[in-house]
Amino acid sequence: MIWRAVGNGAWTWSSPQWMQYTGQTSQDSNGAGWLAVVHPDDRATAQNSWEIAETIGEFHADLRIQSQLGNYKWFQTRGEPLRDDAGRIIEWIGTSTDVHDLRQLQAEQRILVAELQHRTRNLIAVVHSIFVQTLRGCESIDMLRDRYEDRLAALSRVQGLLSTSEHEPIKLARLIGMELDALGDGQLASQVLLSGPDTVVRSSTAQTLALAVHELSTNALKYGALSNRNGMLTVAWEEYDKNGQPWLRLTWRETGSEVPHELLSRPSGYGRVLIERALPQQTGGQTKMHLNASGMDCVITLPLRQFHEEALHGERV
Amino acid sequence: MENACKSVLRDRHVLIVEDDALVGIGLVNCLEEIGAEVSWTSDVGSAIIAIESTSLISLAIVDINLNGVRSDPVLDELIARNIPILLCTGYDSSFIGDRYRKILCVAKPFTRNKVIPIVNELIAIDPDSVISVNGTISQ
Repeated sequence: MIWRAVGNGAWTWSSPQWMQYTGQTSQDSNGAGWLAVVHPDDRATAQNSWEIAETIGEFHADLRIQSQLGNYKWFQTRGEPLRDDAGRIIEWIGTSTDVHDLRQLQAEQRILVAELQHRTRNLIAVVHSIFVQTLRGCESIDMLRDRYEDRLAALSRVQGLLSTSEHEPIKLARLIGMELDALGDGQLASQVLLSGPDTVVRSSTAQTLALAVHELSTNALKYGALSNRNGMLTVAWEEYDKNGQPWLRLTWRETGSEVPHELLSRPSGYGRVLIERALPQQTGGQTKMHLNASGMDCVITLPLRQFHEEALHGERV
Repeated sequence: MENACKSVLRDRHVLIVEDDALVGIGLVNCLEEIGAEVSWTSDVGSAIIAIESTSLISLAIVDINLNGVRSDPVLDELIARNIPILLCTGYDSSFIGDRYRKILCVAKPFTRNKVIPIVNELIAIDPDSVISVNGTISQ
């Protein structure tokens, strides 16, 4: 949209596109008439920009301009002076360019950046917490290094799943399989049986659940069914209804290991806190872990949906 | 430092409202180590139940964002009861509403050295006095 003006923003002409967009006639927009279709909150901006236009040699303002349908869109408005031989300004020629989509994308980007900052700080807090928890049970620097690196690797794997969870929901089978594959270098297939429906895990549950599965797997490899070739690990899960809400029950069962009972062990320290305290706290579920004659048993129950998600879902319906 | 904190926090009840389990565990451990009794909740509903059912809360440490839900109702409940609050957030301070500007806010992550002096100071303050600390605490 093009316009011409004299003095401090007194329009003398507007292009057909201006008339078409705003519904103003040329007479309407002349003088200060064009201000009538500028958003009331932006009129001061427009006037201030005109006041300094002669001094700085250009007019520049981002303004919301009302269309003849009544809605406002952002326009970037710029004007250049035409001068006579003596350098005096004769008139201004200006353009108003639709930058509405650009402004909206910029606003969305600001939200995304804030969200990214939030997630980054949270992740740093998680990394810090894992470090402090790991430090507690370690007797040497070497032990600390091994355990911490191991846990960071597990955190990094689940972050990989989370980064694509917007378009690729996190499947429980994949989450468990990923941990066991990583720890067993893909060699455990004959000793592991995973069975259950195509359950999808909430993003907010996935991280803690993956770290809990990592601790269970590590324990099985070091002290349990996966520490020799004869043991068997069965991880079975099912979805069930609890008070009208979908819940998950996951059963981790180690059998047939030849580890003498007195050497069987269950996760302790960080692993135990994570499985028995952090996981139920995060999900609103429960964890039961115990050693039986042939290995570790662990039953994890948790709601598959969150209450407020349920509420939102209900509103949409 | 730690001894001073122990005396301030011994038998004091601290409420933690934090949705991330691992961050929560870290905070709980840190506070229990210095003698506090800790309740930990992860969402607005259970935080309000905890506030209503706990007779004497000396301090609440609250995350501003609980799984995508703002913790404003929890803050209002705490303010109404004159319970000192420490806000923690991964956002910058502009995310905190104007209503809560006066509340002391600490960016994650919470490290022992960062948290303990602040908790110490907040708990030592008479709950009736106004906490007019802006962003950081003077030591």
